[in-house]
Amino acid sequence: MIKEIRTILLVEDSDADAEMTIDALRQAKLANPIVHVEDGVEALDYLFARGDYADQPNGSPAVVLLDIKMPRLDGIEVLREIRNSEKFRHVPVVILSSSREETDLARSWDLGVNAYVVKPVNASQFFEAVQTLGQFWAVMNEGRPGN
Amino acid sequence: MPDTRASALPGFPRWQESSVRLIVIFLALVLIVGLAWVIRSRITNATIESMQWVSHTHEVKATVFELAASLNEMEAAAFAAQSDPLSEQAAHRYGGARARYAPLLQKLRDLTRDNPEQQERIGMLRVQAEGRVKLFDAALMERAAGRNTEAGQGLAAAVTRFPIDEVLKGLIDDEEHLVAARQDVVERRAAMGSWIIGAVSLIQLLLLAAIVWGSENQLRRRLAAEAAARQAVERAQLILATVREPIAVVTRDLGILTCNQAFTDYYAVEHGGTLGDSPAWNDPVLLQRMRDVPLTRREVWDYELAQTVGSAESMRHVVVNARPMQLPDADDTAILLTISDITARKQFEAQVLELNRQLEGKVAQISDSNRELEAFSYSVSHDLRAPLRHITGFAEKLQRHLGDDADEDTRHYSEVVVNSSRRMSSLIEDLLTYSRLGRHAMRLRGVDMQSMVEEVRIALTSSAEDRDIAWRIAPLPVVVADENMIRLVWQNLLDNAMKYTGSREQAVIEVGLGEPTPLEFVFYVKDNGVGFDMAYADKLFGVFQRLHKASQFAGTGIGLASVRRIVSRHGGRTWAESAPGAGATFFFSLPRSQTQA
Repeated sequence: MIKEIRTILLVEDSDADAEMTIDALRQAKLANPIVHVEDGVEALDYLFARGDYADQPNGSPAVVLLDIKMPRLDGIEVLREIRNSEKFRHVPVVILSSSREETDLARSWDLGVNAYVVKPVNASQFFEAVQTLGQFWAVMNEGRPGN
Repeated sequence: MPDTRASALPGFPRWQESSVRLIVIFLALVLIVGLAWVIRSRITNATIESMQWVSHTHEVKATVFELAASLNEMEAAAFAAQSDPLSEQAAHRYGGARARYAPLLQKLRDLTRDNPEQQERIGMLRVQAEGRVKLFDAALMERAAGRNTEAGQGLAAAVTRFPIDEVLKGLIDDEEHLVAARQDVVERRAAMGSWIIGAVSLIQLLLLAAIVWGSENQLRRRLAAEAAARQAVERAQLILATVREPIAVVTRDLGILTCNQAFTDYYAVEHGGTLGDSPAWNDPVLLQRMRDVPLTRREVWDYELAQTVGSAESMRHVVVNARPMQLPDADDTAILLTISDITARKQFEAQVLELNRQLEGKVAQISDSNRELEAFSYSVSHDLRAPLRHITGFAEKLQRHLGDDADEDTRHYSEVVVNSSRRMSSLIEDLLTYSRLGRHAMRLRGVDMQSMVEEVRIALTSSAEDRDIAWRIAPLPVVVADENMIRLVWQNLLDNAMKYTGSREQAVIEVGLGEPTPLEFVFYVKDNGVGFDMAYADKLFGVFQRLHKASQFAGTGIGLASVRRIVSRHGGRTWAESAPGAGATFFFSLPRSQTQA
């Protein structure tokens, strides 16, 4: 059976961060399509095929790269919705945030995040980190079958 | 109230003391009077005896004289009869005298039975007298026979052969001696008797004086004690009258037995009235509890209430105390009522409460604004990171994009952009760390400073293997602290010490423990580095305060500020000593017991 190539869902409100992240993932030469949404509401719309994405239902992503601080709905809330949903509760979610705050860390882990990565300020370290993440979650990690 | 005065006679209670004194005085009286009587009667007896002896002697003497007279009469009658043989009278005188002498001799013998010398003389006298009588009788018979000459010779022979004058004189002399001696004894005894009586009288006088003095003393003492007691009572009454707290003694029916001026002023009631006369006493619970005081002997302790008192009808806060009191002049238990006006205290309390409330509000405001400030600084630093990342990221992209086309200037400019944003990002990182130190809860546990310093030292020296550093680390204690925070303290201090000794060929870094005090441990890190001017010492521990140029020594100027924040969160202090070029010593103290956090 050929492994299904799943998308990488990038939830990031900052265009520059998104561009750098996508850049890094591209350079990692991953085959996975990258879907970029700009806030929590859009992310949930994409996953649950609502709003702009109502007519195009999508399968489970290989990984959701989730920023915390976003307009309208923040990353923690998105994580809570994902974990509460029957369909997506096993989807790997990686928080990719600038915050090293204890409250953010604790809440994320309490909600069942799969990994929490603090965005390095240094650009090259950031590139490295994103590439490692992409390779691990999109290539090496085996998701739950049937999702 | 028990008599706490010391008894004059140790070992006797006071009630026994007086009866003991009475008994002693009575015995002394009996002794003195009795003794005087005994002595006087003995002296009198002796005197009487002596006088009897004197009269006895006189009797003896009289008997001797009578005897001598009878003997002389006999002699004279014998001679008369001899010269006139027909004289009936002479013969009769002779016969009478002859019959008298023998009983007189016998009487004399009886009288002087106690005196052997006299008895002897009397014996001799008898012999002489009887000799004389025999010769007288013979001579008178010769005369009767007509032999006058023989008779005269016989009489003369009787007088010469049996002399009696010597013996009689001896008897008289002896008795004279005796009477003189006895008279002497009588006189001496009389003199001694008057002396003794004088002495006894003197002693009696002295004793009487002592008794008078003693009772006078007793009286004076009693008067003094009574005066003192009166004074004490007056003083107590004066205190009661002067004291500002209202005080009253009330019966179980709350009738006022006595009260002080303050009470009257306060409640406009006087003794003789009842508490109910004043509208202030209308708290039924308090009144019931007060009535219960004499019955249950349970006191009313610090009963607080508000009362309307005085003519001005002002509202006062008072504390009422009521205790049972046994009056000395009544069987009933009374109630001692004391009232303290705490209106001023209540007002103060209200003020304090109000101030506290305001303070709490202010504290809440301050902590709110502190939280806002923290949130603001956190979010600012946080939000600053993203653009920085973008600057570095896109500068690098630009460098890659230009590739070999970039000239020297372009490369330099983009390098400055990258380096500056890197420095800014480390500043922001440090600021965030510093901010976290102030906000995060501390996890206190035992921290072995010795092994922690060693651990930090190894970590720091591993990245500076080319340095020649002499470490002198003294034994360090275990303290109760947040392990991660304290590690940061040592990291900063040891890192600084290494950094500022960089120019020394042989760096010497000393870690030690200051003089221990019961309250805190003082740790220090001493180096032989470049040091600093003490004039700037207070700037050392400020955020982003640096005493050296960044080009001289790397760093953001947050390390010592973090040290100070951590140490002060542990309740300790931080300070430093140095001189330019002479090395520096950084101190921090930690309390021995970590109860505050």
